[in-house]
Amino acid sequence: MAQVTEQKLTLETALPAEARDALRYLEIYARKAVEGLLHGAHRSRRKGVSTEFDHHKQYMPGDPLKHVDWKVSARHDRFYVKRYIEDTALNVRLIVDSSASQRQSTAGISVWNQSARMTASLAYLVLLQRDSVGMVMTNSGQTVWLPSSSTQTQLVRILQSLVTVGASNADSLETSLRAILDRKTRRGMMVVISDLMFDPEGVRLGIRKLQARGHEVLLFQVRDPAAETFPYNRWMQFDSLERPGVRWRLDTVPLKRFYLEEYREFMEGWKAWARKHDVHFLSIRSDESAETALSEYLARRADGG
Amino acid sequence: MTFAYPGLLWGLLLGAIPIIVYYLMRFRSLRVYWGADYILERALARRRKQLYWDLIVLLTLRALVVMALVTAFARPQSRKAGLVTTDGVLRVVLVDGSYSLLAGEGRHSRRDVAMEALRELVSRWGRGVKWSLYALDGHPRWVVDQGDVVNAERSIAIVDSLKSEEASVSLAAGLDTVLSHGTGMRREIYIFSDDQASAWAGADKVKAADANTRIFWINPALADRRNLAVTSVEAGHERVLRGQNFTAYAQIRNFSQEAVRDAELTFLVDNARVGAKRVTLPPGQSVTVPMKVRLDTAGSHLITARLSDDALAFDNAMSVGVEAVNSVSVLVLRDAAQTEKFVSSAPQLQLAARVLAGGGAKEASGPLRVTEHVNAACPLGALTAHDVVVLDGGRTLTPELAKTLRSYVDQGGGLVLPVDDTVDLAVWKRLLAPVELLPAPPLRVRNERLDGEVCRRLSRSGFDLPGLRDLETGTDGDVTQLRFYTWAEFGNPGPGVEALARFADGTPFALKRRFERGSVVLLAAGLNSRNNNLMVRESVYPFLVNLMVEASSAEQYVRRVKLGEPVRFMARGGTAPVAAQFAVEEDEPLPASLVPQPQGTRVEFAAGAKRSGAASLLVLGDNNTHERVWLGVQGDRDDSDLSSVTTAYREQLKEQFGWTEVGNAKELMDALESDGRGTERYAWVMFAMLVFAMGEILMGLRFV
Repeated sequence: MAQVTEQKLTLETALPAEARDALRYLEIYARKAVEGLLHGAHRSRRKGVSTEFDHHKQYMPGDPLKHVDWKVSARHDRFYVKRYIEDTALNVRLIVDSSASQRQSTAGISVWNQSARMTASLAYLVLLQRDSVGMVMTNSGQTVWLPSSSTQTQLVRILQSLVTVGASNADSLETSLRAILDRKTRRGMMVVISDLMFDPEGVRLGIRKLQARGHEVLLFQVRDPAAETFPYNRWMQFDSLERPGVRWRLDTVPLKRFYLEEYREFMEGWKAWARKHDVHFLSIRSDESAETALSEYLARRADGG
Repeated sequence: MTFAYPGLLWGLLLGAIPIIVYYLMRFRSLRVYWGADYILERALARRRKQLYWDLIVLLTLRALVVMALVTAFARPQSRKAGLVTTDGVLRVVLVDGSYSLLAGEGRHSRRDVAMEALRELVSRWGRGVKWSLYALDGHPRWVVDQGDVVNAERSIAIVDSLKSEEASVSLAAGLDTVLSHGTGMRREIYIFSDDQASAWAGADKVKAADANTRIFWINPALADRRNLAVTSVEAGHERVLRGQNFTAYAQIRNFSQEAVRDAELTFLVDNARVGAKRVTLPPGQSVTVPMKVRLDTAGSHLITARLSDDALAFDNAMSVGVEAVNSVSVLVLRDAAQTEKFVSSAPQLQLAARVLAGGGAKEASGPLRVTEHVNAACPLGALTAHDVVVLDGGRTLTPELAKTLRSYVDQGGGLVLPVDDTVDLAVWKRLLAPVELLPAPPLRVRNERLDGEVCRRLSRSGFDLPGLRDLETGTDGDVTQLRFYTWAEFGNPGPGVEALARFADGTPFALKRRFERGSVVLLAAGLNSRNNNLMVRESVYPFLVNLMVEASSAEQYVRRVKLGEPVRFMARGGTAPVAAQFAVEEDEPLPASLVPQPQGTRVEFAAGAKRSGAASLLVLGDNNTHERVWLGVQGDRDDSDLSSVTTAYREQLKEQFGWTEVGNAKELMDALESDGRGTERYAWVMFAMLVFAMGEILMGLRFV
């Protein structure tokens, strides 16, 4: 099967107008309490100024007197102050796998393009609700770190990064995760976007560590149709995208069954792992509509699914 | 395992084609950039061994399919089972259908052995093999003429349809026929026959086969060739008197080259044993064995002579039909003008009837009833009421009477014409010769003086009529004591005339001419007592009775027929026959035709019998009545001589035709195997190819 010519990623193709229209009315909420500098719509770990009462606390010296609940203090003959849940802005970090395997393209749109589109859509969605979004990816061994920001120019920065960087090296996702873990970050939402075509152990460990730090992790997988269906019935030469110079010349007729079994087992492994560790897992094919898949997922998420 | 086209086996190298093609396709592989390395490598690492073996099995199956196809084209043959199937060869089978092949030991005849070998042979011929089958029997013919084998079952069915026939055959002629069949082709000729010397006579004159012809002679062995055969069985008369003794005669011949001692010959009446005798015969000799028989009931009976089993059981029995009647009615025609003493035969015959009945006045109701007719008028109806009419010599003969007598004979009557001194020979010749009632022309009548020296005596050994042979021994009366002083001398008898009895000098005493029904017996002397000593010799009475009984049987059709001889019977019962069947032994009955006649319906089986044995004609009446008439079919035993060809002649033929002689199926298979031929295994290989192909498809399905 001939390699399909990859459609070049541009600012326009990364987030076309129809995608923006489709995402305009969607909202993404953190399921866990998050930490943010700005006041926002998301529940914060911190108790502070807000309109939503949380609980009473015995007055301690230094507490603002304006928070003393006089009625309750009179009833119990000691001072109590009211505590409120502080709403804060959501801080979303997009961790994008830019490894070379993302360049696989057999359905008109490469895995990388689909990943970029997914990344842009998420960034657009987050910025639309005035939350902050940042992005991390690794290119040629260097981590591209876009700090979180809720300004509209952040979207442009993200899109420019996606267009200019492209998929290149081998272990970019694991490197990106390690870069995040090395830094102290506020609790927020971590969105991992990858084709997951690698040894999962390192990435899983990184995700677990992120979870341990209180982050909510979403795992978005972009699948290539050929890698999923293995539609070959003849001798094929497979040139490795991740390791230049490595190639396999194989008769795919007897191999096909084993490959598909392996692929199925691999995918089931990821799903089971995500289910077990409370990681939201969304898998879409590179030839599917990213906006539709994202819409369905967010709707499901909003319903508590 | 051998191959019809061994050169094609080089094609087995083509088995490498699938493998070569498989690896050539490797260089035509499509290139694809692959991102899912991890899964691909994992699949290769974990299933490498299974992939390897799948590939080996798949390529092996593909190679085997090609190799099986090549092997099938090479026409494999199993040498172990051993048979010929070289392609392009015409196989010609000659089967000896004569009954000498039925000889054998125990229950297995040589024909059984030969046919077993033939079945084994044809069962191994593959589809499309060209073959011919020549049946050499009474009607030699090509049963299969260069046909193609469809399948073994069909070929065996054709072989099994061949039957032995009671006929002698010329294997020389048969061999000549098959050798001139399919000339120019590569041929294999199989001769299934015995080594009977008479059948192979003249084979040395047959032109030898060409170089492209291979001959196998399947000649089943026969250790004991001693063979006695019953060559004929006859009763004294075809019609006998109920309760009266008569003699049945069986003629036995030793066909072998050595003497046979104490062989048992059993006589049976209606399949019930009535007696047995021991027979000892030198090689090539014949003997006639008499047996006294008495039939106690009137009707049709069957007398069978059966020998104990020997090499050829087929010719050990023979039968004859006999009819027993309650009485025989004799009418003596006497001229009223003849008043001389002793001029009539009637008193003499009446005396014989009384003696037969036990004396006294019993003759009126006894087995022989004699009536004298002295009126001038003699209508046909008066004659047909009697079995025998005796025309006394002195009877005035008119043209009307001559015609009436001929009509009487045509209706089955027995006419006795005694020539005595009162006969007007000129009148007899003038009136009886035109109506063919004179078996021989009477030349003159000699009259000698009574009690003189010149007379005629009957011969003791001159009786051709079996019924009179009892008289030869004298046990039933010494006929040589009878003296005739007046006798006639006859000219040469006409065709078909037989001499029943002769004088001592060899001249005929009684000449008989038999018509389809009815007969005329011309006697050289009168039965009256005018110029002989019949009146004073009691030995004349059995003679007269036998003569009258013989004459009465003229009404009957023969009860002893040859092979292929038409069988006829006149149904004269109260009800008209509506159907009739003819059957020999246990064979399937065949319909007989009904021919209306003025005096009744004639039942006829014109084709005649195809084999010897006891036969019966079953006539069904229109009133649920039936009548079974027994008769014996007596073949000529042409094929009973089992003598083998001489060793020198056998060697001469072997050198001439270059054949391979074998004795049974195993020897034939061995001979063919040593000849480098095998049984066709084409179907097996094709089946194997299908199995391999199915395996390849199933393997392919595993990968889907």
